[in-house]
Amino acid sequence: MLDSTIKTKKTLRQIAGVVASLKQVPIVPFATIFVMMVVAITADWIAPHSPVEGNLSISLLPPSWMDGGNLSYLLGTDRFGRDVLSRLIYGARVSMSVACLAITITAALGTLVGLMAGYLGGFIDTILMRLADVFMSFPGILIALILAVVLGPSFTNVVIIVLIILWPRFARQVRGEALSIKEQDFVVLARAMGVSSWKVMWRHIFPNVIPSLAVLVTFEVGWVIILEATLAFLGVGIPPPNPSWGVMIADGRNYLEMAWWISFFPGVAIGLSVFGFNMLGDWVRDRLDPKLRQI
Amino acid sequence: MLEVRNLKTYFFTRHGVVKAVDGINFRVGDGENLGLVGESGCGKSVTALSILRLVPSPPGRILEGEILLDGEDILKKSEAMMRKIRGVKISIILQDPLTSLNPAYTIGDQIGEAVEIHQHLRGKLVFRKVVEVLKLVRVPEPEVRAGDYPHQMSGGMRQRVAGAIALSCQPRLLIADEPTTSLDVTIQAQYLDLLKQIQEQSGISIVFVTHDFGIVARMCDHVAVMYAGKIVEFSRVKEIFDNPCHPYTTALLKCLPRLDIASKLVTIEGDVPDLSTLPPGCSFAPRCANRKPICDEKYPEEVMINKNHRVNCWLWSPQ
Repeated sequence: MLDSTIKTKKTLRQIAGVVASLKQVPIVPFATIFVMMVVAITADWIAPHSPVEGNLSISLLPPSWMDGGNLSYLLGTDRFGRDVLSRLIYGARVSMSVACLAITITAALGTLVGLMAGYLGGFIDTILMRLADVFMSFPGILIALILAVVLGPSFTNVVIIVLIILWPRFARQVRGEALSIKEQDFVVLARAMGVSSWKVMWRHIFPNVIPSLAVLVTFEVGWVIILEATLAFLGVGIPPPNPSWGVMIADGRNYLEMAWWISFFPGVAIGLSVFGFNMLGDWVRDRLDPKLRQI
Repeated sequence: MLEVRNLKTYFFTRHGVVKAVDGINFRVGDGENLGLVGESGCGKSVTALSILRLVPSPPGRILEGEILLDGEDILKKSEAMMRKIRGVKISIILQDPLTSLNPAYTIGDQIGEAVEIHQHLRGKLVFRKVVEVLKLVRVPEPEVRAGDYPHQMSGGMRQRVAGAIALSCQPRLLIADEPTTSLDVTIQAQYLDLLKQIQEQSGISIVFVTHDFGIVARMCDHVAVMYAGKIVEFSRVKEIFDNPCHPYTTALLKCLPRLDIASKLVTIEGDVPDLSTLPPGCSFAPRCANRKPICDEKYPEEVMINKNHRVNCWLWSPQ
C-alpha cells in the first residue's frame, strides 16, 4: 500500500474513534452544561427583557402559568418589576464567567506550584507545601467573607477570593501526581537524554497530570458557582445591578411566601449547573481512571 | 574511554547510611563491552545512574571518586555541562519498555526530543533523523510507526524504540540496564543481535548491567562481578567462566541451570546483606563456604591473578 493510503486510513480510523467515543458521552450533564454555556453567551439576544430595568407597575408578577401571570414574563417578576427569566439568563453569564475564569487561573497557578513542589522537591517543596497548609487551614467561607469585605465587591475580587481559597487543593493534587510520575522510567530517561528540569516538567510530567487535573476542575467548578452565589447572597459578591443568581435568591428572601418564584428559579439554576458539573466530573473520572492505572 | 575510580555513592536515609556503591574501579575501552553482574541490590543500577549523575539527590549522593570520560572527570562538571553529555556522549536503556516511554506522546516525538535539544534541528529535519534512527534499530515502516503511540506497540518494539532514543545522538557509551529482562526469550536474542550489529557499525561501547551470565558470555569482553556495593572480581569474560576465583562468582555460576546434565537447582544460602549495616570484613563472608577467620575481620585486598584478572578475596591472598 502507498504511504499516503496508509496515512489516510489511519486518519479515518482516528476520526471514527473520536465519533465512537462521543457516543458514550452522557447526555444529561453535557446537555445541561452546554445549555448553560449557550445561554450565557447569547444572553443579549435571547433574554426577552432587560435584566436591570424594572417596571414597578408589574412587580411581583407570578410565573406565566399561574393566575395573574403574563406570558411575556414567563417566570414572573421581582419586587422591582424586573423579569426573572431575563435576570436568570444574565445570571448564567455571571456565574459561568466567574467560574470559568476563576477556575482557569486557580488551576494554572495551583498546577505550577504543584509541579515545582513535586518535581523539584527539597526545600522548594517544603516551603510551597507549608504555604499551602497555611492557606488550607482556614475555613473557606470565612476567608471568603473576610476578603470580600476587605477587598470590596467586584468581579476581579471574587476571582481573587476563589484563587486564594482554592489553589492549595490543586497544588496538593498535582504535587502528588508529579511525585509518582517523576519516578517513571520515561522521566528518568528524559533526564538521561539531557532534557532540562523545566522542559521535563512541561513536556513529560504535565501532560500526564492532566487527566486527574481535569477531574478536579470539573468538581471544583460546581463549588465555585456556589461560592459566587453565596458571596452575592451575603451582599459582598459582584455588585448590583448585575444579576447574579445569588443576588436573586437574596432579593427573594423576604418574599418566600408570597413570591416564591424570585428565589426558587435561581436556586434551581444553581442546583442544575452544579449537578451537571458534578456528573461531568464523575464521567471524566470514570473514563480516565482505568487509563490512569495503566501507568 | 570510560574509567571509574573509587566511586562511592551513598544514600543517607533515616535508617542509616546505605552504601550502595562503595569504592569501585573499572575501565571500558573503545568499542569494548563490560558486563556488570550481580544480584538485585548489589549496586549495579546505582553505578549506572552515578555515571550519568542521575542519582536521586535528596537521599543519594556521590561522595567520592572520579569518572573519567575520555580523560575528563565528569563528576567535576556543572549540571549544565552534564546535560550536554547525557544523551550525546553517554546514553542509557532501561529495563522496562512499558514505562520507558511517555504514554502521552508518539514515539516519533520522543525520539525527536533529544534530536531537537542536542542537534538543534526542527520540523522535517527532525522527522528525517527519527526515521533514520528507527531504521537503525530495524523498526519496519519507520515513517508510519513514528506516528504510533507506545501503547500501540509490542514490548520488543518498544525496547527498540528505547534503543532508538538512546542512540539518536550517536553516543560513545551506552549503558544497558537489564535491557532484555522484560522481553521474551526469542525477542531477547534478536535484541542482543541488534545491539551487536549497531556496535559493529558505530564502534560504541556498551556497559551491560545484568544478572544474566548468558548476556555476559554473548556480548561482553570484560566482566565485573559486584556484591554489596563492591566489585569482588574483574576479568576477561572467557576467564571468568574458565577460572572463576571469588567464591561468590563460583556460586553464581553454579546457580545457572544446566541443560546438558540433569541436576538439582543450586542456590546460595543466606541473604544479601543490609547495605546500611555491613560487617567490617568481607561482605560475602557470612554466606561463603570457604570462610576463614580473617574474612570477618578485614576487607580483602585486591589480588591480581593475572594481567586481566583481579579478585578481592583472602583465599587468593599470599597470606
